[in-house]
Amino acid sequence: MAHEMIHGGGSDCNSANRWFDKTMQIIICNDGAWGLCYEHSTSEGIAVVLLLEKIVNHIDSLDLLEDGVPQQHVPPPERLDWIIEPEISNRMVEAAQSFDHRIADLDFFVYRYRGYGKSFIKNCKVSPDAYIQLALQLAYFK
Amino acid sequence: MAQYYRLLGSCRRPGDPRDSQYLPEPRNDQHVIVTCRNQVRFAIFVPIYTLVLTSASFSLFCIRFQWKSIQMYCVPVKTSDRGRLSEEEIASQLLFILSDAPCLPSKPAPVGLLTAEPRSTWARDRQVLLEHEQNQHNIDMIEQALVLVCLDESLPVSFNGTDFAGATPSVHFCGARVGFLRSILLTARNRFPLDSNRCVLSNICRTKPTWHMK
Repeated sequence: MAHEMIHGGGSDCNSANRWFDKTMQIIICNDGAWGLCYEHSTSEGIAVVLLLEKIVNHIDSLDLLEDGVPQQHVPPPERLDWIIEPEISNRMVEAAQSFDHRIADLDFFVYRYRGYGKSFIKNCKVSPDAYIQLALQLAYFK
Repeated sequence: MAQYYRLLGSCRRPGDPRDSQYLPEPRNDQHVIVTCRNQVRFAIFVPIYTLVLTSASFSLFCIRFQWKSIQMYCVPVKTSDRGRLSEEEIASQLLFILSDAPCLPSKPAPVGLLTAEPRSTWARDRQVLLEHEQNQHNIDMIEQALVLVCLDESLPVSFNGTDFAGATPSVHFCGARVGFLRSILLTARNRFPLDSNRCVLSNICRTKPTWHMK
């Protein structure tokens, strides 16, 4: 799932279904998984966490819509069609290869550690962010 | 506090030697870009005539095609004449996209792949794209959009794992046989739909595509 959100799984999967310049990309899978790909240069991480918490709480507070028939009087959304020169279509083939190569180079597994969490780290008067950063550096050093 | 106002409607513009920020401007019309990935499957039935001794018979031979299409749409969420669109109105637009995207007459170009390239390369390609007015319009719409909504197809469960013989079913190699089982267990737990609200905050990937993907 983290792979899905970070890179989309390669050119054969969802990687082309992205625009990595965009600050917030909300990713929704057809199996119900969803998450966010966030371009970090505009803002700190905490801002986006607070925004998402607000959205999730707001969704929880809404009532379920019982009548599921949507109204149809809105004009259909505009399709964005591209004009592609041969030069750009060659570039897309190269981009697909280089992106797949970089994804293949990424070894990344997500584990859940249930021994302790951020409260314990905060109890020790350490920032959880700094704790993780140091753990990563130690792992790299070893 | 300024950072809180930049989350929606901003974008990072590639440049050589350095990138720049596109920051949101106050405007009456607001939209999001929805990009939809679909596996388009269709079958053609080809009649095959066979002459067996005296009796002529024909059977249908089926050729199946499959391609992946990626299409972007511009969905308004607030307009100057109507105000904010309601939940039903936005839902009907999304339903339109889900039914429209698999039926496109031609295969749309996967332009989004170019944004994953090193920044100066993407900056050059973007200039080439901008030579056409239509592409310029598309890029403007993407930059001004509040967010990008990516409607994906799920990754295969074999992704990022190895099978029991130790061979890699995908381009990913995790180096351990147990990886396949582990990835199934993890994905199964993560992908249970009822669970999705709970896991959303743990899914936030603070990705810096321009730096760590090089």
